[in-house]
Amino acid sequence: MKHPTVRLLLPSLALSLLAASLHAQDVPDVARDEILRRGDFVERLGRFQDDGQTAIAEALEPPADDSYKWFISVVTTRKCRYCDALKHDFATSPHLKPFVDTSDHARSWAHFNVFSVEDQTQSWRWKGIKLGGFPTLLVQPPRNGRFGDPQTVVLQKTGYDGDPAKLADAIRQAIAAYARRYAQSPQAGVHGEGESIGYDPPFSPPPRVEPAVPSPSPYPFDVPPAPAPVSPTPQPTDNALSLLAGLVGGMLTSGGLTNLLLVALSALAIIRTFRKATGQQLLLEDAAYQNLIDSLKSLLPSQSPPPPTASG
Amino acid sequence: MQLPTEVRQWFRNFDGSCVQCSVSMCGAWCNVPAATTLLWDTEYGPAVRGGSWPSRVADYCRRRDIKAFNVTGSNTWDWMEWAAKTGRFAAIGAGRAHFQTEYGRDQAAGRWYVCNNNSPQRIDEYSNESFRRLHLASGQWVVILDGPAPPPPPRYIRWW
Repeated sequence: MKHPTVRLLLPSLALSLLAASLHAQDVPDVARDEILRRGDFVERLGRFQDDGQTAIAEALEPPADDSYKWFISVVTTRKCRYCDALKHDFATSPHLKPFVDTSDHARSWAHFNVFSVEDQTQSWRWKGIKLGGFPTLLVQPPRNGRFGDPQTVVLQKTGYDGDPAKLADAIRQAIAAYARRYAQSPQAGVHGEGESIGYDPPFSPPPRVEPAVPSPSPYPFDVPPAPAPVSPTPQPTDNALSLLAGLVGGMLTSGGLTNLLLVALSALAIIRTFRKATGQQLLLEDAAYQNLIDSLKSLLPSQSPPPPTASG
Repeated sequence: MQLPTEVRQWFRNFDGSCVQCSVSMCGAWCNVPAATTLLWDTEYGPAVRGGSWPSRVADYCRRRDIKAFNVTGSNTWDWMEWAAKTGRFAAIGAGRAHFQTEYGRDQAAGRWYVCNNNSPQRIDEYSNESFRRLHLASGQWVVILDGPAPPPPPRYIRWW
């Protein structure tokens, strides 16, 4: 709906512009005249140039109250491809579209703002938090106080791995956790009277190194990973201590114990044979020696196969 | 809403550019660089100085691609209410032949907060009635940037 004032207004605007140049006041008298001529008039600038319209007077009423919207902000830095990837995904990804509409802020679920950390006109905004890397994504509750102090950092996420679905999930979970917490104790810290707690956030600290964003493949197909080079088999290092440890370790196993007993039997037989041959007195009589041999043999595991078992 | 004093001082009015000073302050709050830099020669365009009227504002907003509502008439009260309620600044006619920045409102207390670019170091406080007189003295004209509301400065408040 075009306001009738528009038709009457345009010819007089040129005259008032000319007259205004003669004035040095901040808001010269000609401005006052123009205000009166325009009457109830709303000109929405910067949105309708393409179709040749210069004035839109269809909405005399202010837009709807949007103080219920959450805030999603992105802080970027120059020459940061992760920042570019994040902004691009906010503009195009169907996973992020339910949160942010970059083409029309009025239709966006959240107020979405992109800041540059190099912008000195905005540096005051970050005095209360610690920015550890870029991009940094921030989520804050709505201005209307429905979910407590709108300055509260509900989520601070540094870096972007190129996965919009994962990011959407992180935003969803953070908001849900905060809303749950707020619903449980609206009078507690989340209600706006909360304690300010310095600079240590409750979330994982940002990585010191930016996560790698998978770059697009130059091929129209997935390239299988190249086989890993075969590394030479590591060679054991030989020394007396390790050999002794290995020998003792081997002896303590079941096979090692058998060997030990066999060695002991052999040694006893050799000593006894040697002493008999040289006419020396034997340490054990034949009966005692045989008992000892039998006892040692009983310790040896049986080498016979297990008896067959019936089946069926 | 709060803009540090040192930032507000950038937009002090030295040469009869009160409309641009007010709009620039709105730009700083709303993160609209093309508006923030109105007073100076930058990559967004040459400096815009001197007195202004609605069609001049429309002209330089178009040149700089600044999205804004340029509102005149009896409905400016609703627009100023809307701006304060939704966390936006508004450049408003305030005082005889002068523009200032509507800085906020305490509806419950019936108070309006305004930053005058002739004294940006302080925030002036008005009752509903005195604010009404202030606005009418200049003629009912306001300029509000058309974009998402900016986040209040974030801070860590224990909620977990």
